[in-house]
Amino acid sequence: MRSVLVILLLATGLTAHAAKRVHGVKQSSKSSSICEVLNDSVSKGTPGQMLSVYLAAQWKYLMTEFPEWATYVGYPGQNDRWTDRSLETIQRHSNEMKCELAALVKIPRGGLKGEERINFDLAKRNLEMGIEGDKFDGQYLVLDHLSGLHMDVADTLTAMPTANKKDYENMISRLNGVPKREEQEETLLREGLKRKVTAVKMFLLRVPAQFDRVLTAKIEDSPIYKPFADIGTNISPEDKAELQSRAKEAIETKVYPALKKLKGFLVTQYIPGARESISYADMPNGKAWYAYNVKSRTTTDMTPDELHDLGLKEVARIHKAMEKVKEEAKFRGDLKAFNEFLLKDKQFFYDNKEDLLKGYRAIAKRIDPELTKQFKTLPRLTYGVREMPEYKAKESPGAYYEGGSLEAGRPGYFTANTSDLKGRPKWAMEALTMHEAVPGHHFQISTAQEIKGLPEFRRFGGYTAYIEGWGLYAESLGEDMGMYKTAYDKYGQLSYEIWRAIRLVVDTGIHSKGWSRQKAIDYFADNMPKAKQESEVEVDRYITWPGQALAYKVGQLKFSALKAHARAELGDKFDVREFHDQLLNHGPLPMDVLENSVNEWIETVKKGKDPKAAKVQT
Amino acid sequence: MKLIALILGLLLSTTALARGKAYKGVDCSQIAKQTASGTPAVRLKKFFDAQWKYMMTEFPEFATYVGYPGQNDRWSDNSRAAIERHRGDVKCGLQAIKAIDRAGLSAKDKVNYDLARREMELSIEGDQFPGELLPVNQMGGIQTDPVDLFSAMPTANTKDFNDILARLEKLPEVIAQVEALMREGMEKKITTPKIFMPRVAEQLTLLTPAKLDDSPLYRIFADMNKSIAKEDQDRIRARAKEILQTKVYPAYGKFKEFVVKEYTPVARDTVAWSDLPNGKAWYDYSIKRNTTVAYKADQLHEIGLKEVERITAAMLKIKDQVGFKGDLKAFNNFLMTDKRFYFNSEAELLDGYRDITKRIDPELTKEFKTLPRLTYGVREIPAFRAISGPGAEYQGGSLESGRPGWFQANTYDLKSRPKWEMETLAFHEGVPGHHFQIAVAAELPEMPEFRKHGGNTAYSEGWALYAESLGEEMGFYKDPYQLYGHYADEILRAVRLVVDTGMHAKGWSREKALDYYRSKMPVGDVESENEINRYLVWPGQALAYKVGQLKIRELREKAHAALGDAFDVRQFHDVILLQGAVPMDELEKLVNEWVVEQKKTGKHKTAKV
Repeated sequence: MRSVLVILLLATGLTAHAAKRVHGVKQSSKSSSICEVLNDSVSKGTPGQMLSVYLAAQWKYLMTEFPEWATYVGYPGQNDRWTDRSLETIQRHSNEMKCELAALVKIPRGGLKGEERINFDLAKRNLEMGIEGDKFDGQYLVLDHLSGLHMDVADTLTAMPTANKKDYENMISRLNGVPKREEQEETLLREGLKRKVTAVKMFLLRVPAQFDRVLTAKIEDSPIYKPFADIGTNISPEDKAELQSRAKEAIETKVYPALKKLKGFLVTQYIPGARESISYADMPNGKAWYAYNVKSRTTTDMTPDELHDLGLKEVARIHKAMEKVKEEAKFRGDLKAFNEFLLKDKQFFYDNKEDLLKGYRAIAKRIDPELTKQFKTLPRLTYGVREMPEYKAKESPGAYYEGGSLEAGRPGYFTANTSDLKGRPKWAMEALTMHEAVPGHHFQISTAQEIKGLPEFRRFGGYTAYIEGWGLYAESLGEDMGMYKTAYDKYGQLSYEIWRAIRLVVDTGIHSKGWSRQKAIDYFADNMPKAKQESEVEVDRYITWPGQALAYKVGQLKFSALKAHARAELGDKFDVREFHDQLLNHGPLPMDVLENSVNEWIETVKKGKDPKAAKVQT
Repeated sequence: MKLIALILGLLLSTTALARGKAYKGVDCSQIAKQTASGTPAVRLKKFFDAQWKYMMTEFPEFATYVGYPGQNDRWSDNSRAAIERHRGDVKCGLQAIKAIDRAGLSAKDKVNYDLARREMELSIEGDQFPGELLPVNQMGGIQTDPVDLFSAMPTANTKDFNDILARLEKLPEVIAQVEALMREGMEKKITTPKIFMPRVAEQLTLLTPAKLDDSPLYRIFADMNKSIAKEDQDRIRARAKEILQTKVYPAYGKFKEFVVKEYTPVARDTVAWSDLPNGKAWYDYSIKRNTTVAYKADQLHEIGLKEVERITAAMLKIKDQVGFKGDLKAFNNFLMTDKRFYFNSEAELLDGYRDITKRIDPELTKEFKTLPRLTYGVREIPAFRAISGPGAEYQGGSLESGRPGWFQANTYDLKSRPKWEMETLAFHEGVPGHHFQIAVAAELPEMPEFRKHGGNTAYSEGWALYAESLGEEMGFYKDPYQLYGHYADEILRAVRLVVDTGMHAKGWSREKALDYYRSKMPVGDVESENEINRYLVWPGQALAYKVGQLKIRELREKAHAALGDAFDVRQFHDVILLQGAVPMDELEKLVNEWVVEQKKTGKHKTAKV
């Protein structure tokens, strides 16, 4: 399973979904295969040149085989196509990954220096993880209550450029390609049914209603049509009318029939045959599969048992801090009563969506100017705050981040869930904004994208432990950045931290310790302020994306430990802005590689060399 | 709206500020040696390095704003002797650059050379006008500048605070130098108009309240970062209070007495610049200095009248569109008084701006290829100078010293802060206006420092006014009242052409200017008076906005017409912004070159990955 990281919906953890094998178009028989191209690339030149030619060829291959990824990255020329998801292509990709690895290891690693060596190690590690993942049948899990064709079409169109007429024609081309995609995905789902590799039935029962939210009676109301409804003044009125009518036709004659067909298949065949069990352990080869997910998400060798115990320990530690803040808030009653108060009292909730969005914008604009005190290198890409589309708000968390692209002229977005306002407490807003926007996901991801001199796979790829660990670590910077001034906001931050500790307990509980869904939901209610509906959404997500939720706490603990270590080692020489640059300016790294890189930096600073010398130029 | 040179660093270089120019000199003894050998390119580079170092060390306040290290504990020397020395250094600098063979430079370096030389020549030309004798007026001076400077100083550690303490301790000397210059002005009959001096006295009172904790000068110490150890915090605060008590307060007390008892009684009763010695030539120079074009006052007056007429027509259309019954005056009155247009609390106003600016941020990628790294925030204009302050202003930041840019909103008298002006103001002061342009310039790679941090008013303010006009294509001004606010802001800049030239060159009285102003747009009595007063002490500055905006607009239309479908607005904006703040003729040349190049290659939309 190749770890393809699609930045869109990153924060929801859809990276886990995207990491399922994605499948490419058939290559023209005339052009040479990727195996030949890569073998060629390592046949001449210095080791450094070999690697750089190899990585360029591999990147081009990835961008053309996975056009949706190219869209998110802003790589040009792929916006009119979908990834080929046929069984043959899936097999071909699996084979090609092996020859990618075979070609890569022909490069003499000993001849590589510094950052090149990290490039090599990471490329190799990614391929090895991908090949190992091919032992499992992830390719058949293409639809569940969190993602699937019924959401992908609108989501992909939303991320596409809208600068000129051609951009909209590409969208129409993708609309016309939906029937073929439907056919391919239906085939995969049927194959999954045969092999007993399916999504969970009780969640799938929600999916037909999701289809209905997309298949609106009036096409103008469908989220799929929205990019065309929103055509701006940069397109002439005549072109706008023409594009809108062509889009409507494509949606009516191609997209709607295909989605209706898929829905029919789900209702009559897939859902009735889907699995009842919620634990991955009950899937074919499930125990090994979960262990693999744990390893790939955390980038460590920690076992489920170790992670479970770490979670329990963290829950106990954070509880103590919460008790203290509860005292500061002068609340009379125990923690559970306080949690209930925070979920119910009117002062903590907005009455309308617009106020909630304004609230987030005000917080984001308060954080923006504080960034210069924590970071030397700031990203150029801007971000906005917008409302989550209705069709998926119900199953989504409080907010997620959608990555942008400087190349494509697309900003990042902090996308806020405005459904169920009683589940959006004000005391969680600061921590949430720190996580999803800045200095969390938007900051880290945009910074990585803009690093000069790093190969693309490191700028646009990632590791969940690094990315989500950073998001959670970013929350912890709030106090230094003028946030969490009230006891409630501070408690909000702690409740967000304990939430990720709970995930260690619950994820491993469900998938390796036989916990029931109810036991997991109850554990939430006992330990943090989370509305019932919200904790259900959470638990159902852990069931659907096993192991993904472990990455947050594992990554954050590593970032925090490295900071404490660097501070202790460097004393007065410790500069937090330099330290953060060091964490961010190599792009996402596995935890062990990150640790090495920080340790090397500490040595450089100790020796009194200019710390900037250790920095990748940005 | 605030004079950009002010924000960029000349804030405390009060004499330079009043003259509306920066010193561009170099230390003669060093410059000859340093630029004597090498190719013309090498010599020019050495010249710029030496000149920049000189600027940073001679004008430490400028260094603070730029984020240039090591100067934060000092002030510029504004003694008569130092002023004369600086003037000599500019002349010497001009000789040194003239000695470099321009013909042997690359095209890029020729631009650098021309801009530097032009700046020095203009500065020398300005030496005949004694602006240094006007260091204080109601818009600012030693009674306001230290607070703004302190708020721009780094505050990360005890060293940073020791620097602030050092500056605080030396403040009495700076005040004494200012007083000396004002005394010289009294003798030569070159003074600030009398009517503005009571406001200066009032500002001095606000600066030094009875309780030290309430002084704007103390605020930076009150707000100390938690990362500084408690003992250090206590020590620094105690020392700050001691200095204020024993040195700074007495110095300001003495200065205030001078202002009230000696200066004000003899200050001039006239207001027009033409009433000063050599005033007519001085005003012409101010026009050239601020607009970068040698316009005659009459020409600008006519352009202003024409623009006022055009924009009034657009305003009338909106009045009819919202179905208002009554004439424009009644409509303006309605906009000034109806409750729906005003906030009830300062916090709501600030959060309103935060909401607007955060809605603009994501739209930038559609208009610009190159975005700045530096972030910006929203906060209020310090209360002690908000009374005579504009609706909003921008304070520049520094990536190097870790200081963000600030959009500062005036929260004084909420009844004069209408909602309908908020979008256009945010575009002007924040992004894509001042913050955007200034941060992009400061971050330009491979550009001499003076071009990253310097500039001229026509470019900076012209850009900001042009930026306002991007609102519609970026999805703003959807509410007709916001669009009206946008036009009100534009007509303000057209009115400025009329009244600035009117008062300083055409014999208009202050009252006539006020009446004209108030008849053209929705504006309160206090605000319009503040504006007119500002034009009176900053002659010519107010002309720059419209001149710059009209030029950028004209260049865009010409480029669009020449390139047709191949015109890419993101690339056009890069052409305007990636050269830093250049004079109008230079800007036109750059755009023309770009158009020719685009036509030749046809590669207007090269794929960028």
